[in-house]
Amino acid sequence: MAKEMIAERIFDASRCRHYINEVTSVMHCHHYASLYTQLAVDAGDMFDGHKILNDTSEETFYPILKDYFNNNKITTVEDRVSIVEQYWAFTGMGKLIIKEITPKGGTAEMPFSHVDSGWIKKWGHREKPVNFIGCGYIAAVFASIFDLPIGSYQVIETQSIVANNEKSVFSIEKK
Amino acid sequence: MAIDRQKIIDDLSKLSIKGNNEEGLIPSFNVLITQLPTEFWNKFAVKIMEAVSPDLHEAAWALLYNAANECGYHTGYGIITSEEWKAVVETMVEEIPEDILHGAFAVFTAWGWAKAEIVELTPGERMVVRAYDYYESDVNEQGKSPYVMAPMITGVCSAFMDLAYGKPYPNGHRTFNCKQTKGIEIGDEYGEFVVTKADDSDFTFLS
Repeated sequence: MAKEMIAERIFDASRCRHYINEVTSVMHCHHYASLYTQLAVDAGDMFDGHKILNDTSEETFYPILKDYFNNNKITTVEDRVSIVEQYWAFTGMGKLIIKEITPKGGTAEMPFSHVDSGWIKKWGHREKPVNFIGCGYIAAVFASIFDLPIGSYQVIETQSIVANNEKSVFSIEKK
Repeated sequence: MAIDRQKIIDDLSKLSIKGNNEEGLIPSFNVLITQLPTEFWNKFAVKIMEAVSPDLHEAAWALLYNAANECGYHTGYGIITSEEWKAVVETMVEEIPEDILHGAFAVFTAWGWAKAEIVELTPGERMVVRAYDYYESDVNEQGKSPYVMAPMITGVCSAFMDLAYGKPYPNGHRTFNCKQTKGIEIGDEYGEFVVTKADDSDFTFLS
């Protein structure tokens, strides 16, 4: 039976800060995630927004997942998969299902996605995927599960809710 | 003022929010919510500022400001029309829109955006907000920032003034501008945010 994720939530009234498992956290809405994603899409010649958002996500979540596995002695691939799926849902980012996973790569699905739902609420559908945050998270997931360094995996969103697919699908390959 | 700021913060900061099991989404306050590490939002903002040449810092900051400003306008409206607002804040509201504005900043604080309050308000004209602790200032953990770095608070402050004193939603957006005049991240004791009418401002983000 898969392990249940522990989420210790503290509000520090003196600083007015939220902590989840000792990590400073904050509530934001779909407008904010959508607008940051749009900023990444529209960055044009100023900077590579897609890569920045993807890397930001991977760099942020990788140590959090690693710490969680270490602190709670989550050692098997099965348990780690369960934890990363629960964590994604806990944060409100959607439902993540890791369909196939080996050290060489795998596939993942999101039948529900905060980024996609938010984008559709604001602007409707579009042709190309927008879940760069999700891609970065999944890259962090695979690297942390197999105790590999950050940046070990490339994640491509091959189907996307925002592009009118029933679910978002991600292909993961070891670099 | 009838708003009991501390009660709002106490009540709303205790809400046990998590994604529902079926979808992993958090519908609340009339929007979909996430609860992500603050480092994610800070890191993205810093990376963007560092990715551009100094002559584009102003433009990059403006993009971050605009994202927060539009978010603040729509989310702010979602907050003040939500069931959560009705349950906790609405009964305290006597003076409109000033009490709504003070209540919105209490929610702002309860969400973990900043320990912030209005310290000066000239209705319909000008507002000064101070933030004594805010996650955007954590960018100084890597050393003092070369520039103020709280575009989220800055954008939300002007958006809340838009909601209070601009034309009725959704037509009042960008009635006001905001400039961050102090920042913990640049070595000040607190962050300060000055909101003025948009047409009154010779507007720049970075001094």
